[in-house]
Amino acid sequence: MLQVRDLQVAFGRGPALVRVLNGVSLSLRSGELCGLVGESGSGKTVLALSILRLLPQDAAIRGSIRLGGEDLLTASAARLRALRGAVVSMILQDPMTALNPLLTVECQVGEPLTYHCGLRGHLRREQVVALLEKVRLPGARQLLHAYPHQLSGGTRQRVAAAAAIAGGARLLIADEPTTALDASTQADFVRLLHRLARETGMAVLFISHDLHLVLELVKRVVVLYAGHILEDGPAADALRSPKHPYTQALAACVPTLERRGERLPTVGGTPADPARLLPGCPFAPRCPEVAPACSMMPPLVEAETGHSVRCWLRLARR
Amino acid sequence: MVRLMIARAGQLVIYLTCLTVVVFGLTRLSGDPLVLLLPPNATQQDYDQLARRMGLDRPLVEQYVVFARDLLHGDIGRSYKWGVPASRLLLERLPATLELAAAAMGIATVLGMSAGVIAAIRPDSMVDAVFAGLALVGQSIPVFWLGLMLILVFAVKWPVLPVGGRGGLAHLVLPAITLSWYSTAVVSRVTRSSMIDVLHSDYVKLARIKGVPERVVVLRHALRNALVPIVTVSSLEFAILLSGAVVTETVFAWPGVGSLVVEAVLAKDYPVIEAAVLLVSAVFFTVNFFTDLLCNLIDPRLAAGRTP
Amino acid sequence: MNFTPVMLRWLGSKHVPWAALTMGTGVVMVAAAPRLFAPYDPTRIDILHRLAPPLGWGGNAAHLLGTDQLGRDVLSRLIYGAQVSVAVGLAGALGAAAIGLLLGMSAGYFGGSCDAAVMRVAELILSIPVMLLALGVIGALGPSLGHLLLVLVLVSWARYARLVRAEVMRLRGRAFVELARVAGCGAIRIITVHILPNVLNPTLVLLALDIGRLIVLEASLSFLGVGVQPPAPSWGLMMASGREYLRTAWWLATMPGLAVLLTCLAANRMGDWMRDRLDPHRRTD
Repeated sequence: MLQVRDLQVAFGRGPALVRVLNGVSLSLRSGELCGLVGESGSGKTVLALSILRLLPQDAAIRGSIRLGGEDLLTASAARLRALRGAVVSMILQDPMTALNPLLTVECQVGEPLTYHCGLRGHLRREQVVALLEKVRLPGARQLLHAYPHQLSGGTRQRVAAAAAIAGGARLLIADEPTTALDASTQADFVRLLHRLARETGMAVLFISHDLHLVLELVKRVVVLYAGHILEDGPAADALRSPKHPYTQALAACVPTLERRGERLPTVGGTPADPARLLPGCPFAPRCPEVAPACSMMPPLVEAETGHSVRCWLRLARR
Repeated sequence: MVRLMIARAGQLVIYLTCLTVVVFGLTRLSGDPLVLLLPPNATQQDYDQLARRMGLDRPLVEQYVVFARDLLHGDIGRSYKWGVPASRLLLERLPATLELAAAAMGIATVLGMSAGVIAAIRPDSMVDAVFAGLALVGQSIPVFWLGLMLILVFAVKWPVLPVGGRGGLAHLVLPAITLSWYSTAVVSRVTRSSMIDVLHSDYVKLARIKGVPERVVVLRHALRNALVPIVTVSSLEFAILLSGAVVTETVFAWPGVGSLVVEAVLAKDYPVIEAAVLLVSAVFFTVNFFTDLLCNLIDPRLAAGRTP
Repeated sequence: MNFTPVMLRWLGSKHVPWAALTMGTGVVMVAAAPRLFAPYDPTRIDILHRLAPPLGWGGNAAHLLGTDQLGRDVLSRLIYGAQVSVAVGLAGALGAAAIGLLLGMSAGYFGGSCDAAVMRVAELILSIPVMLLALGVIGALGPSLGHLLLVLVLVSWARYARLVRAEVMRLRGRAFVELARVAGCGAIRIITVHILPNVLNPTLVLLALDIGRLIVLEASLSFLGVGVQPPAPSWGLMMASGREYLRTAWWLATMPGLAVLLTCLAANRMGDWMRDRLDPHRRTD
């Protein structure tokens, strides 16, 4: 239902030009649960906001984004508004800032119902209660008149999720929805997303820097690094047989029972700065297996069925 | 809310007490009022007699207590010039000043806020540039000169509006514009920066993600959140506005408290000056009090005693 | 169509405000030595040539900006008026800054009842409308140049005190001040050597922005007749007397106003520029 083709996004102009996304292609089928993994600054959030067409106005976007066959880059403002919330929606990272502090829960969750479904008054209130129950919030009816500052972080994020899915979105982008939550709430929230996806049949693009967490939810993982997709394959392979050296490094950071008591490895070096990118593979400066060929950009090639990787080494090995 | 009101009322009492001390100090600084009251050929005996009758021969602290007691009974003394109680003189003039200040504040709020919102939605647009320039020039222009220039253009060169005085709506136009000029610029700038902050917030992003129409995003989600700083600055702006009113009223011969104070200063009519300082400060403090209440109504977090 | 925004943006840009610097330097030079610049004695009365219009409005080059009701040259009076306005604005701002620095630093450094006392008085001063306070004090003391200066300092010091106090409170917790105290430095030494240099920048910025404000305030008070007293040539006084001649001689009220406007615009632009350069993180209101 979602096809992103060769998406390029840049900010600024002239010498201050920063390329954040450099030709990202990504497809999602309806109901598919897909993870998008990358360090901060890799362009995850920019990709998400591009799909919603909510990037700042100074962003230069090229390529194509199609949602259910409709080209989003050429769609009118009115059409985009009709799509947002109703077809594609998003959960933001920080629940403390994502809710409007001056509006009640009922108002904020109910807005998509008003503007997409035309619900008002009593009908809308019942629907809001149903949504709050759907995100497993106990005492939904008491929450209606609460303001965000009266709620805990976990509750706020559930309210934000309820507001995001209220319009009946078919694609939900969850941008690090658990990063700001404490550990026990994190797992709960991922389980909630899983249940919501199963109940509603919507596709989920789960964005995180935490490979381990992503694997709890999704069947497929896309690895983004400095605005390039480095690997795109089944979730099971990402841990067991990662193909790209970067994914291997990420997988090694995940604690497992077999390696109890060992010191956790980290990815060496510093994350790539999109403002200072050299030509060639963006991971080369940190790559333990770097080769002379890496000064040229490798293509993203399907190494196995449904599993692509962007690395000269893997291409040669095949 | 109730606790806040009690706290504020307590502050008001302390504040007014301090203010009476200041005003009392001013009277003592002003030299010997008896010299002004007595005829030039008065004898030392007349002088002593009047001093005793007015209590001026007693210690300062006692004099202050008498002053404060009279004040509590609404008596701040009679105007030297007009011979009527200063408080009555002021209260007669107060409606005219309030009318002018309200009109100016109305213009500043409506025009300043609309311009600020437009400038925030489209930074670097024409509206933005014009109001940026207005703010820059606004703080460099003496209010009274702006008034003179408006008179020159709209009352002398093209006589479409009256030169001065109080009357119908036509009389209000030029003074209100003069007085509102600077405040309009300030309100528009504060609205702009406050709105720009809010428009970049996550909750505005979430509202757009939900597919809320842009008009509703701007008015319900953004403007309401931007309102607390705007209201706070506007109320502080009110003090500057009252200062401007003194000059504006003089330029346009507007029969308000401001022009009365200037007359009183020039005539050394101390009771009137004192009463005016007290009255205007009290008005200003009242405005600030209601501002706090308004902010509490806008933002439920403030009412809960949290800082947003 | 883009002309106005471009021009205004240039006025408001962060680049060096050459126009403002030139204007400011010009006014200060003229004020420092009016004798060198003024074509006439500002008090010379010439009834024969009274109310002559400026050049370009039917006047001639003898009186570029025309003459007033007594035939005095407007340009010369503006130039001598600059002396009063600039001197009063500068002296008032400097005096206020000095007192504000002293009180603000004491309040911030010693805290406690010293802090409470200074800040309560500052709040009281800030809560009374400036013009009313000024009128009240001048009403009590009587109008004169010295009292005018006193009033300008009185209504301005509180803003400096508040700014400096906040800055000192911020600095007091910093490691270098703690270290100085551990090293046995006395309060006076810590304040003068360690804290003063750090609060000087924001104070200077506020000072620059204050000069324009005080020039406007001086003009307003003089206009009301409670500031500079005639026959001294002050911009505010010139506008007050020009007011009577709005119908017949518009230039009398207009020219001094333009002088105030341009001077303050220059002072404010320089202040903004200094703030951007010296103090990029802080906004001094």
